[in-house]
Amino acid sequence: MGVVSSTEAYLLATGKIRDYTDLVANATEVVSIVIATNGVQDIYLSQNSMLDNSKLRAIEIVSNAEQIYGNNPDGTTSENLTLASLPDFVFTLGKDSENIARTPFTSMHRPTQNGKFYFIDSDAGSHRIGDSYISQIGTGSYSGRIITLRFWYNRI
Amino acid sequence: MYFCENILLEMNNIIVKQSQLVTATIDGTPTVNRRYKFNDIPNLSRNNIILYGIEAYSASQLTSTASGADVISAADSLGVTVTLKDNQNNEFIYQMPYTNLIRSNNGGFVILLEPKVINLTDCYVQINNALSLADGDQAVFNFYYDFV
Repeated sequence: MGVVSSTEAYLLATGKIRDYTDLVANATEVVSIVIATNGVQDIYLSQNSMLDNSKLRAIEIVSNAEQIYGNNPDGTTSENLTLASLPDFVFTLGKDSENIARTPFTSMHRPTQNGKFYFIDSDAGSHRIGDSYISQIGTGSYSGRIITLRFWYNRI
Repeated sequence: MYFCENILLEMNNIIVKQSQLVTATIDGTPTVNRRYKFNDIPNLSRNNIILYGIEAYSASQLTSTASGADVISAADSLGVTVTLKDNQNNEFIYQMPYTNLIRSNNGGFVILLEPKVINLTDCYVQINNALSLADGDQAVFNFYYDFV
């Protein structure tokens, strides 16, 4: 792979950048959660040992502009968050009490970013989905809406 | 990807190692040319992180900060610049327009930096036009970093 500067070579060698057209991952998993109440709150994700033991490569949020309904575990569906509501939410990837990455939903929303992924290389065991959470930082009323996060990961 | 003479240029985007939202508060009546230092974050402000990417947010991308403060609006962001200092006190990014750091303004690419040990609380935003900025508004950035 050609490079244009020693800085870019360093960033590539240390895993800090990647060509945006590179293969993202070899599998995806959807993690979704229904918002139970209105108002400012932290919403923890359910545990997911499969993702905990996989290498995460990218995370995206799906709004109702791309997919109107998200799937509940019981087979029913709920309406996804609206595109306009994305600025009211922030996602934090964590492990134990450490916050690895804290990112507004708009950064993880691919249509907003002209299709670009939010790359995150987190090795198996370096993150814990059950310790990760979504913060509603705006006071909007979104009770009953489903948050659909798509994790792109590499199967071990 | 495209070719420029004999050099292969890649279109690289950031991979997040660690990220943290950092803020600078417009404290008091917004005043042209005044500098507003970044707020202290104890685990990032000990010259202990290498910054390699930065992203800014207006209220169009993030309605408020974790502390509940208003984020500066997209219209007001046109009157704000950003200066970043390293641990040698060099202003390696000087008066960069705030809007240039908003990811969606750059086709989804995060602004990449030559990795630097950063002095967080010496970095600042500066107002060059107060527009409708208000006391308490916050400039919000996502720092993409690795530990020293």
